Amino acid sequence: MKNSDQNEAQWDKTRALLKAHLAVPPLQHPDFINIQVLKSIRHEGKPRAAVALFPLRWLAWSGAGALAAAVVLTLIFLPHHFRPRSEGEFISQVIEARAEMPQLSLSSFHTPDERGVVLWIEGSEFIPASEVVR
Amino acid sequence: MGDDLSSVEDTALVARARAGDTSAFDDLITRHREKIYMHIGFMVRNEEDALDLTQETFIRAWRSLARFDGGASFLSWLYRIATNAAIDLCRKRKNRPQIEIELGAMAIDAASRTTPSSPETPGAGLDRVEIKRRIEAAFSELSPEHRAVIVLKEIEDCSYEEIASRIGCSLGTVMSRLFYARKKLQVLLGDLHEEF
Repeated sequence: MKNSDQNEAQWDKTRALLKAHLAVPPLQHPDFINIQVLKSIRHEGKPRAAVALFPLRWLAWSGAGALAAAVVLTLIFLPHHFRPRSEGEFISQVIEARAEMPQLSLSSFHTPDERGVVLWIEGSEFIPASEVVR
Repeated sequence: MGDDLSSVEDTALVARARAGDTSAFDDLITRHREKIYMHIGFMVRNEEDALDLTQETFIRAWRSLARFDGGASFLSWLYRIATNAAIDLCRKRKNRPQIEIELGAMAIDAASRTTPSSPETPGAGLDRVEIKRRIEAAFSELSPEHRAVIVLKEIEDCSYEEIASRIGCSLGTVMSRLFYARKKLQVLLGDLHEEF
């Protein structure tokens, strides 16, 4: 006997067991169901009318619209925000920063248009006489 | 399953019920209450719950009559409501149906398809109470969805198409659930076969 035939025969036995032992007793007082259900539905009145699909459709369109707006705003603002800037856009730029004393921080800013240089010194109230600013 | 013969009359009764005719709905209840009760009873394994859920099924059907489109038979639609209600209850009980159907209450309607075809059933030599206990326990191990397909296919003899319509899922899902449910029952009840 093939394996599938054996399985089928086994299942036939199981099915017979289920049918024999999973029985449900018949309905004892069937009219009780009618009475209870009718009592409940008479209280409720006529069956409810079908709910119009408009709210669902409206929700779907609103969602799609909101999504489209978000995409458009992202496309408008995001690339602009992350665009690399050119040097000309800066007012000034650090052209040299070097300090030989460890507690001293010195930066010099150069403004191209104004032809000026600003020195920014941190870490000291004054420049010691032994140091030279070049 | 013989639903076709009554489907035209069902449709007429449904139309009247939709207009608020409770006597038409009363006729629909009388026509289908036994089948719905048996189906729920097989699934929930508790007489009181089966009775409550049968009532609930018809009340839900009344509330949703406007949504019944007539695509399937009214009975199939009722079965779907009943199956969902039974599955919900089984889930609430954490998938553990209470085994309260008494052996003494097994006087089945002679015309019912659920009556065993042969009086000499497998396992007749064993203690019937013990066999029943084992089968109820194995059945309770199934998920509510698996229980539904086993009841519809193996006990109520529905076709795959009818099952799909009655539980509202695809044919593939029905076949898959049936395969796994049978496999599990075979594992749990396999040793009973050796006794006969």
